[in-house]
Amino acid sequence: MARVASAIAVGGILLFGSSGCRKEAGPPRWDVDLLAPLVNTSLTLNDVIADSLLVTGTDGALTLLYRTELFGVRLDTLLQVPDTGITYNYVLPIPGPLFFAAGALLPTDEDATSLDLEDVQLRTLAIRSGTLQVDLTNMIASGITGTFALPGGTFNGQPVAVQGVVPAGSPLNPSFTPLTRDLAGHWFDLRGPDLDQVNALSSQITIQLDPNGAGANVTNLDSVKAVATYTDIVPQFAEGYFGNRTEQVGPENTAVDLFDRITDGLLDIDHVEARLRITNGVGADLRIRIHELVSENTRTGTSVPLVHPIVGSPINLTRALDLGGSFQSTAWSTTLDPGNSTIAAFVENLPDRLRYAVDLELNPLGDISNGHDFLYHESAVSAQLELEMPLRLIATDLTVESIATPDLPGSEEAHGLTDGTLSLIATNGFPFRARLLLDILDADDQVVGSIPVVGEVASGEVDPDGLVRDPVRSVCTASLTPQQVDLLYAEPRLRIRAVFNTADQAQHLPLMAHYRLDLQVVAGVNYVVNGDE
Amino acid sequence: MSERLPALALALALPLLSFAQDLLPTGDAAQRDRVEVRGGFAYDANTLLNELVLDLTQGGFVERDVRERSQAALRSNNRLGQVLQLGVHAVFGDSILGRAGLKVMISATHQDQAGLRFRPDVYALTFFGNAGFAGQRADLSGSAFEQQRYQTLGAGLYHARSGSWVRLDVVKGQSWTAVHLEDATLFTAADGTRIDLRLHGTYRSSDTARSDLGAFNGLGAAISFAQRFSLPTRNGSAAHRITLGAQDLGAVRWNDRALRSGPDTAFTYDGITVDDVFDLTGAITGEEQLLDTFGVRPSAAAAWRLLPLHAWAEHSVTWPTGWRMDLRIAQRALPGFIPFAQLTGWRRFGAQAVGISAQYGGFGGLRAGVHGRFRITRWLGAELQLPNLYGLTGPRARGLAAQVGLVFIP
Repeated sequence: MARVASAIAVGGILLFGSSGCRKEAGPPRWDVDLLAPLVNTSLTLNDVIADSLLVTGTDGALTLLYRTELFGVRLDTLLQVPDTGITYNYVLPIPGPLFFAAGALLPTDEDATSLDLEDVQLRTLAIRSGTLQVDLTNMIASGITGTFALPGGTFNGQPVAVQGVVPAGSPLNPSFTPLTRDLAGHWFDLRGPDLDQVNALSSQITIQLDPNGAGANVTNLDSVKAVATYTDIVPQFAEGYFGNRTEQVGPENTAVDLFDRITDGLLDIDHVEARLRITNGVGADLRIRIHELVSENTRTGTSVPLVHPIVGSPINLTRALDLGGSFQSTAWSTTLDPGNSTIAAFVENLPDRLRYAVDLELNPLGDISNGHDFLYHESAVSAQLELEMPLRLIATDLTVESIATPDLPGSEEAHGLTDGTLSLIATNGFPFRARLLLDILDADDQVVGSIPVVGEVASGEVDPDGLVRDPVRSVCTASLTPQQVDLLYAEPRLRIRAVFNTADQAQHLPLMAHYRLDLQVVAGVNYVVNGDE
Repeated sequence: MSERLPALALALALPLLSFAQDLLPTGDAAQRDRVEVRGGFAYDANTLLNELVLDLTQGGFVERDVRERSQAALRSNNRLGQVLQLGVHAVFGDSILGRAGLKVMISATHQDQAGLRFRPDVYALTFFGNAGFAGQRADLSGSAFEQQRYQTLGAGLYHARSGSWVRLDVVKGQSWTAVHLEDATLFTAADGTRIDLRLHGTYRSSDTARSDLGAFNGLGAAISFAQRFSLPTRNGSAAHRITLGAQDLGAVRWNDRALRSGPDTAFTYDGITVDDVFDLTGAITGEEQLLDTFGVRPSAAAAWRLLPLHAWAEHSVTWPTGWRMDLRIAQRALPGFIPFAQLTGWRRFGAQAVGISAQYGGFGGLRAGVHGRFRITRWLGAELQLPNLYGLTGPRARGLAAQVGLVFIP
């Protein structure tokens, strides 16, 4: 608005206000009455609902197609490899001293440590990421070479070993060398040395005195210690028997953004259909039980549970198919409609989140794969809810809200804008009429003032088929008093709410792709030139 | 208001057209070395009332009735302008390069000159806004404004016998603003949904970062001169003298930070287009968008501009009886300034002279004034001119003009 004023008054400021001395009264000020369009915009359904969610039929009628993941169970729920440590400690079994020549080998230690995987019995594990750290401590008066081999491990088909040199040390002043190895891409056979175990992580530690040294006298106070730690292991692939166990998922919430802009009101839809599709990417049979699926509107505090035979009943999914390096998920789906469920009320609740509680039972029939359950890093059990809703509806006081921070000229202390009238000129092609509510909010979203709006946006002219034949033009006005203007400067947040009602409250009216609402905001204000200074 | 008016006039005002005249009473020898100090301000308007201009000058809120009274006085073409000039001029010496009677002239001045012509719709839009034009077209065409502030430092030659002189000045440009609306109309729809703007014009300005007295935004040069001819006379008859003169015939090159915008466009404005109706934040004023929409975003480049040349011709007739008559025609290169004519009658009383004048044109209409030139001591002369007595009669008069000057004769 300031620029409109300036554009009109620029000549005057230059021409009439440029000369002479000015006293303490400041620059000359005078009030002008300005009338100018401010904002020009239009509203289509695409402004309310993303294009990707709308499907236009051959007759131009719109259908809403909304997909959301209801829940997903991923690798970290199905399989977690804990950090695992292995300690090797060599101490002379007699008091000594006993001389060990240069290059002498201390007794080799070979061990198979069991990974703590609870009910999971793994035979093979491929690692996507993780680290092996070996800390070597030497108290012998000779340098040593430590070799930490992983007999069950391969990397690109080659055996895996970690080797490092530790300088000479003493019991009072041991020397220390840390060794690390990135385990990404490593494969481990977890069946142990005799291939008859599960979860077995084999290791072999060899210590050799420095072949170029002078040897050393070793007593039972001298020792060599190696601590190997596997950390942050993320599997890329695992095979074995995953056990017969039940994972509980939820109660948890998943956000629904479909009705984000709607803050209040009732929506009566003509028809809705929903498809629930569950996919199993895990190489193990599953039995899923949905305990609850609830539509929650946190703005109104209303909850509508889904009632359908699937809720509370077991859903069996066969295992995924291993394609050797990848997998093919299996799927299960069912359709919910107003005839077999409460899906209509579920949607009409305008949920902003869905609450669910689900049990997943692995291998309900036991180890029928003979230890060949598998999963990949990408494996997941996922439930997708797909909502298909032809946009034929009855809206009752359906409220859409937006909060704007107007870029007003001047400041709270000095502003040229004193009072005026905002006119909203609407050309409405929707079968809705709309009331506008303007409120001034403080920083805590509390209403500190309201600007009354006179008039309402009239509905488009609806023919007997429920289609809008002609857009209708209407004008709403909002008068801004000086007090309201001051308030707007003090709390510059304006909440604009539009309350929609369909023209015919007894009939579901279709929404067509070409419907639009053209809006223009015109300001007629009193503005004090130089009042912003 | 009524107290402020004469006070301001007496304190600051100078006549528009006095600067090429002799300060000394008629008949004093022009051959004398001297130093002249001049300063003052003059304002004239053909329609606007002084009360409005004074309110604008002094700041504070300009009441609606004040604006309405001036609006009621507007004509189809309205003019106003101001000239503020302060200067020191010295004339001395006996000869230059062996030529007797040639003196050296040295001069330093400060100039602040502005002129405006405008149509009534410009005034109405400026002081009352466009709401009153709902459903109508405001015609702004032909309106123009220019203001130049600059300082000069120069030297020249003064011919003692004839009073002719020529001077070359270096000009320091302080600030410059010029607006010219060649063809401009503004239509406001009755319901405010549309504004149609036709805009063909120019806006020019010196660097806006600094415009105070110390600002050095341009550099130029100017020549000023006055050539006097005495017509042959018989003994005992009246003496006729004709003067042709020009002041500040020159130009300033304003530096490369000078701004220029020359829109030649016609468009309809129906508000800033907002793509997302749910995101109006920042869209209420849309300052940057408006600048682009109106196509008035200026660009920076150096620019040459002529100084507001002041040219005049004067015919003086001096009778042996002590009477004198001056007829002066002048023109200034400023918007709103029309040819100016002034007729002054002088009567000499010893070393003093008083006169009355009638004048028309310039930035104002018909007006009358009084003039006085006084020899206070042997070495000090003074001048007081009040060429617009009507302007001093009250806030609802038009124009303010007075001049004070001192001449020191060693």
